[in-house]
Amino acid sequence: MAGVFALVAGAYLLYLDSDIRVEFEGKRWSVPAHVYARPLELFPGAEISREQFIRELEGLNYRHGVEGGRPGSYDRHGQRFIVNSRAFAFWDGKEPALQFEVAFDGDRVSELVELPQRIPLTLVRLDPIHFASISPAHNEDRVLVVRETLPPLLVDTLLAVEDRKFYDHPGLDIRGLGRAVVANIKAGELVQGGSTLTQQLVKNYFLTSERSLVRKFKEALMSLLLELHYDKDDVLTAYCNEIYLGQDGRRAIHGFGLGAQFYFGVPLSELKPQDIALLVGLVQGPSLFDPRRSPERALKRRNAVLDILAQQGVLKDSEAASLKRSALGVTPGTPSAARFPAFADMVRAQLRRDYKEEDLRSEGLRIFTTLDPQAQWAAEQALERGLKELDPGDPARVQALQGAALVTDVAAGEVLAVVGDRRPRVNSFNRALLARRQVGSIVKPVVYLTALAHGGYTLASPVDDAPLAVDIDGGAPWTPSNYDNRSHGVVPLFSALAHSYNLATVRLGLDLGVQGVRRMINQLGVEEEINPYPSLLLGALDLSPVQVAQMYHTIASGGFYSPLRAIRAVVSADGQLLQRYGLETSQVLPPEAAYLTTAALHYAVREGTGAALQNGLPEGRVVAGKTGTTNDLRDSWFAGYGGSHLAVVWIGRDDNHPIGLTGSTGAMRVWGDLSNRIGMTSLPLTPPENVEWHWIERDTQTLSVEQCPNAVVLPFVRGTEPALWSSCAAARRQNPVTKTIDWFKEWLN
Amino acid sequence: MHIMRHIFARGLGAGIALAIIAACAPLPTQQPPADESAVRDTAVPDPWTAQPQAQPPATPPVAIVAPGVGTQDSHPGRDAVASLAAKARREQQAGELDAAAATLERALRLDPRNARLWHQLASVHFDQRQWRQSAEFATRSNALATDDKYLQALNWRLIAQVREATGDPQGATHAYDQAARLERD
Repeated sequence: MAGVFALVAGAYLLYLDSDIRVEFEGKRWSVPAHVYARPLELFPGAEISREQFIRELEGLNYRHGVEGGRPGSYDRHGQRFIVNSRAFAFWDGKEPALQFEVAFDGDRVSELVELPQRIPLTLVRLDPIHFASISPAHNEDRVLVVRETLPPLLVDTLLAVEDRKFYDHPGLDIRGLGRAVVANIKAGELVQGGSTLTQQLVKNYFLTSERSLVRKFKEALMSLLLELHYDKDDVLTAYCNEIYLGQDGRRAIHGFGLGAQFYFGVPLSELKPQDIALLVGLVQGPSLFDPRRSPERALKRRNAVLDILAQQGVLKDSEAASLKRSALGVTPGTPSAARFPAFADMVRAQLRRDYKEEDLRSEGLRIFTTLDPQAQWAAEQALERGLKELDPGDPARVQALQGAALVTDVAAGEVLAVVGDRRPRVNSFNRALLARRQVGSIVKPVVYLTALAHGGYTLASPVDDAPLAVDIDGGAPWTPSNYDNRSHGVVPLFSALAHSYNLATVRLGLDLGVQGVRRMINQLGVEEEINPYPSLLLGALDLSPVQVAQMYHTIASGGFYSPLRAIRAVVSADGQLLQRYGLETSQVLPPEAAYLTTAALHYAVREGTGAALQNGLPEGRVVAGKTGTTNDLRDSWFAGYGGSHLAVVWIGRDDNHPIGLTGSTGAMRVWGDLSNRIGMTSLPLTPPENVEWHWIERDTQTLSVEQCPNAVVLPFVRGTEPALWSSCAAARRQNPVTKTIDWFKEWLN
Repeated sequence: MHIMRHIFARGLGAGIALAIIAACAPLPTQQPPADESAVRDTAVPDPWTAQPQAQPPATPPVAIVAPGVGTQDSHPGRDAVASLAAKARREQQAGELDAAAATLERALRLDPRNARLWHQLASVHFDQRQWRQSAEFATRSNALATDDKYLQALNWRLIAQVREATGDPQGATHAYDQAARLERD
């Protein structure tokens, strides 16, 4: 009988032992992938304003007060900042922690020196904002800590409050249990727990709310077994990574590393003593003492912990007393999981192509992305405010006006910002990537680009905007019309694009062949089966905002296609580079054609359908862009670019009902606001080598001079400019020698 | 034309070996007489149109050529870019090619229209034997190096080497000719 009992007990022990070991080993390595924004690069002359810099520091949760040299802190004195930056290991090198001073002049960095010796610095790379974690399926998140990086005060506090004999007991502490009971009776409430850290850890592994003697017994046995296999520091470290500290929506907050991030927005090493007291205090009841929901209760709990520290001699009485007067200091909390969900979506989509979902969720990968928080904030605010003006109703209702925005750089195809909902913190349908909507006139530049690249046209070539009927196989002829229902006669090519004339565009497109235009759309980077119907010329094509951005990017970059990227590199948990996503480029267009198209798109903003935009831009800012409006005003688009950034904005309704907005009354307004917020630079209209600018008379498409009426200046591939002079220009050029000398003088200036 | 002169002044500073170029801004050129066959407009005939006088190309008006990247005498991040370019060169020489490429991409984020950086990137990709990308970067450098014949010649030489490496001797010869022509200018 006794033998059978021993056998059963032994088997049970073995079973428990394997259970706890699997759990312990498994949990030690289950860390989500961490996703980082681009790091901010500071250098003298860098284009960033003081306000943007403050925003960046706040995004990084740098705290006020640089005394003591604590990394992750700053002080501001007017235009100058003193910053203690954090050390950070990038995959291409380590950035040391630095103390430096940075001064701003307008929207630029005017001075950058290392302190205290004031040595000029050429370039400083800050640590990147951590904006998302790709968590395991059960929505846990973790910022892994190792024993060496646990702040000694955290360990002291934890042991003082939760388990004084941790380093002496075998996993259970009977006397500690008795002491806790006495203390709790004395205090009249729960101030000390009776379980050892080991028991608490086991309890955390098998989280159930079951409170039974059987479970207590099982926990006790497992605690003893755990301590047989692993040493105290392993158990302590596991505890610090495992302990449950709160809830952020569906995300559980486990471990002190994540707790520090979640409540204070800083790494564990930057916690102040009172912060540590609060975090350790939370162990007893993360929900009960939630410092954001119940700040008074949390303050009381924190101060109770500080009292225990004073009693146990961890802190001096005077220290504890002064710390008890300090504020709770938790961040109001844009918890990092909810930051930039649309961008995180794009990163996840790109990663899924190259990694197993399982590895992403458990291997602790570090993902360095192209997200530019400044551009992201600008895009979010512009869309949120713009849509609120256009549709003041509740943004959550089904009929609400919705929108999406996307910002990329112009040179390398890096995606800087993605907004997929007018409520940017809501992780809903990501319209920037997934909403496929009719593009309307936003496709027209491709028709003109085809004409300029392959059709032998120039920007001054006459095109006829007269009515036309297009034969359709087995149907009535298609008779497109202009937006204003008028015909504009013969107009120069650039003007037909700038004013988005439908008749001229269809006639031009049919002359080039719809197949040619379709091929060009593909060449620009839209990987899509497209039907070459004539209506394609007016935008009968469904694309997502990100596809439109890709298409325009190739034109903006001067005819070089670069696949849009959201990720720069993926690094393993131990710092090894796993994959670099480098810049790729391939020339798909003659640079001249891209340049000429950009010039025409500049005219669209100057005098065409986008003319209202220029009024909202700062004096002298030169951009190129195009509106798009679809049938019955269902979609409002604007895509455009300057020298540095490209942005696409779409506005519409999810149920595809008409919204009563054109491209210029809707999306363009948001785009204008967005471009101002990101400080979009002007187009560098430095022509390709064989392009020259000439004055042209609009009506006759002949060469002209600046002083003549109706003159417009346009770029031409050398030798393709009109051969004839307008009569006005001819009359004015009676003394060409003087004119040339005058011109020369001007040029020398 | 004046913007071209400004482009000229752009460079990487001391950090770059390529910086030894002496060149001058091109003078405004006289246009060749109109080719009669190109006439295709409806202008009223006029004694002047029959024999057009040479006229220098127009400069984009001030309203179009606003200050922006690439139109300034010196890029604001010149020193930062120069230090990264120098770092990339050290990495390339040490055979750390992926690091060199990454450093150059970092520099390009600060100064995206810097033709020398694109050339350097082409050269790193050449060392990585990524032929197609190498030629593409060289082409991109050329598109930006509008006034820099020396740099254009370097890019053509690189393209020629890529073509040699990928079994296109005829293309290589053509590219070498381009380089030689630019070097003569």
